[in-house]
Amino acid sequence: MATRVLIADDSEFMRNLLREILEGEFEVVGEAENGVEAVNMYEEHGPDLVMMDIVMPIRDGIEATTEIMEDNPEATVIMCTSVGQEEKMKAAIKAGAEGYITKPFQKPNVLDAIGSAV
Amino acid sequence: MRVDVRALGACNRLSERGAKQAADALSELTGTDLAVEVTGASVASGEDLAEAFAGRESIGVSVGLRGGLEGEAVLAFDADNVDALLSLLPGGQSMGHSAVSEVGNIALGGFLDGWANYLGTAIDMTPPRYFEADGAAVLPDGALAGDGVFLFESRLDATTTDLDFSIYMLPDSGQFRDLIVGKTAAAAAPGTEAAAAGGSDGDVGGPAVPYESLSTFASLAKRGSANAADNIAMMTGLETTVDVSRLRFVPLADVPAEVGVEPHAGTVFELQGKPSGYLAILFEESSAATIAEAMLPMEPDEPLGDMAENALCELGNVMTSGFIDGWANVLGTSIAHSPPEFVHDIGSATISPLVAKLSQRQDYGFVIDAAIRTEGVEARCDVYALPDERELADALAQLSEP
Amino acid sequence: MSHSSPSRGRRASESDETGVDPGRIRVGVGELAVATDGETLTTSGLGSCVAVGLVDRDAEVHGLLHAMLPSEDDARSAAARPAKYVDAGIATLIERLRRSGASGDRLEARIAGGAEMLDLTDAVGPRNVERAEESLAAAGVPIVASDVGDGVGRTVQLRADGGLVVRAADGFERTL
Repeated sequence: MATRVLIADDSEFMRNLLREILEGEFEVVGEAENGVEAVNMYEEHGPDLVMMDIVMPIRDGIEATTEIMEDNPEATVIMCTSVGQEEKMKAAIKAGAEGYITKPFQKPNVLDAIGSAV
Repeated sequence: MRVDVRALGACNRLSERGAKQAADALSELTGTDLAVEVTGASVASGEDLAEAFAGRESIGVSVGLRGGLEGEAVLAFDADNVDALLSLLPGGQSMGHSAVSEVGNIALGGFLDGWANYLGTAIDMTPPRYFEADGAAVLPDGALAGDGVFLFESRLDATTTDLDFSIYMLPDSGQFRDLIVGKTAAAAAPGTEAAAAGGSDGDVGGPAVPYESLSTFASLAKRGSANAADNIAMMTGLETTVDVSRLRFVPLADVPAEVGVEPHAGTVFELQGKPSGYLAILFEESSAATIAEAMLPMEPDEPLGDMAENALCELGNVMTSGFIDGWANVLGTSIAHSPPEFVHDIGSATISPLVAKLSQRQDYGFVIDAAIRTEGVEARCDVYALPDERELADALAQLSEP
Repeated sequence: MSHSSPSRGRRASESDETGVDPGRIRVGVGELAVATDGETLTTSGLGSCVAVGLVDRDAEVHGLLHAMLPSEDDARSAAARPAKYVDAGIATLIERLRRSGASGDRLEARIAGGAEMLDLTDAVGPRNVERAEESLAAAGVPIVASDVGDGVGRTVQLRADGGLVVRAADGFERTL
């Protein structure tokens, strides 16, 4: 069975790009546009993996990750962000993220990160 | 509060590094080579900025900054280029604003990484906001309000396509002050190149200037330009205005790139007094010919021949006097200038000896963006003011003493 | 159409050159670069600065330096950027070329620039050239060709085969 992935990014452009990279090998179960949607859609779909942007409206990706991990310690989250700040990376790992990819990324980066996280 | 000029230099380097990261990210995203052309801090009043940006239409992507650095950063490009940008992005054509916002988000993310890592703190970005703007409205909020804001700007140049970007960052001034006197100033302390220079002088404090004096210096440029215009009018009998849009603080090593490889003509002066240094007034060839022709009673035989050279030297003389008299008056010092030396060559080549000479002692110089308008003829020029950093800092410091 | 300094016109695009496949690397003032994949190294607006191109054709490694001042000793600040200086820049460039597989005794040099652009400044151009000659001689690297001095700005490109294309401000072009 294909790995089920939830994409959380406020940019439609980026969601499409990720979907294109993932489709075929993975099943994209949903696209969230902000941190709150990400948490709700996680509860709804129970995906194997979340590709999570950091800078999002309403609730950012680190907060959303923290919240998802609280109820689902087994969740796998990969941060997928334009932010390459060391402090943010530390915060993401503290929140429970398994991987960290900075935009712009190429297909191999994404697949590598997924490969080592899942 | 005093600002160490070298600390400002460190901020400039951060900005440079950030711009490099942004350029790399954009290159990867668009498959087009982008290089950081110019990075600099500028001090300008809102009024001047509005004037400088008049008539331009831009597309911008803005992010708010919170946390380690507060303020706003904007990625901007020419509205005419939006289609070219979209065509380079996978699926970009159909995505429109979303694609552009994400490009801005990624580039600004890269830009801020350098600052955050250096400061050892996190800078939070708000989600990107897409906007279209006329004129100076493209600049971060607040840029037009103050009468002397620090605006960091970087220009990213695409080598093969018409796809150039600018990044503007306006840090909240209160916090930015703390930053440049705090963490960044500490970085300029013993061990670094700048500090070593100060140390060998025995001037322990280094070239520190009061924060307020930096905007005073910006207004000096303005005042100088009014004098310069009066002088030209007196010399030629033609009504003349000289507009100064802003004063930029740029790394000396960037000055040649700033001038560019287009042929330029103009004049170079050595300044003696407080501060000493050099002043170069450079026109692009066509502007040089235009202004020379306007000044000459008859059309010259050749566009940039002997007659034009004489005219440009005289123009240089009166402009330079205008500038430095204004500075000397405000600073309460006296500054003299050498006779003009005419230059006509690859722009960056003409200025390289000045940069070489000064870079033995310092890392930064000032560029004054100016435009001369005389009897309906407009000629843009750049005035490169390259004062001795320490002497200028001393003079500015004395300004603020009671 | 750039958004900064409206008073400056378009910078000359360098795309009029045939910079196709292997690509080109721009070397700024006070910078150096080493290429191993056949890239062309370019630097523009040499006035009093001097450009030093070094090549080891057998190892297919070449490098270009654009230095501003003769010697690190002139610096009042410790050299954070060796490429700013002719002497330190040449030493660093040779070292970087070696690390990329070049052999010191196969290197050959071509130099350009060092013009006397202004009477106002002391003759930094000729001093740059002199120092380049001294440093290269000390390192045992022969100078096979040079185009230096005069009062003219130059733009150069170092090809992978070591050829240095020098274009003067007046448009005159020659390959060293």
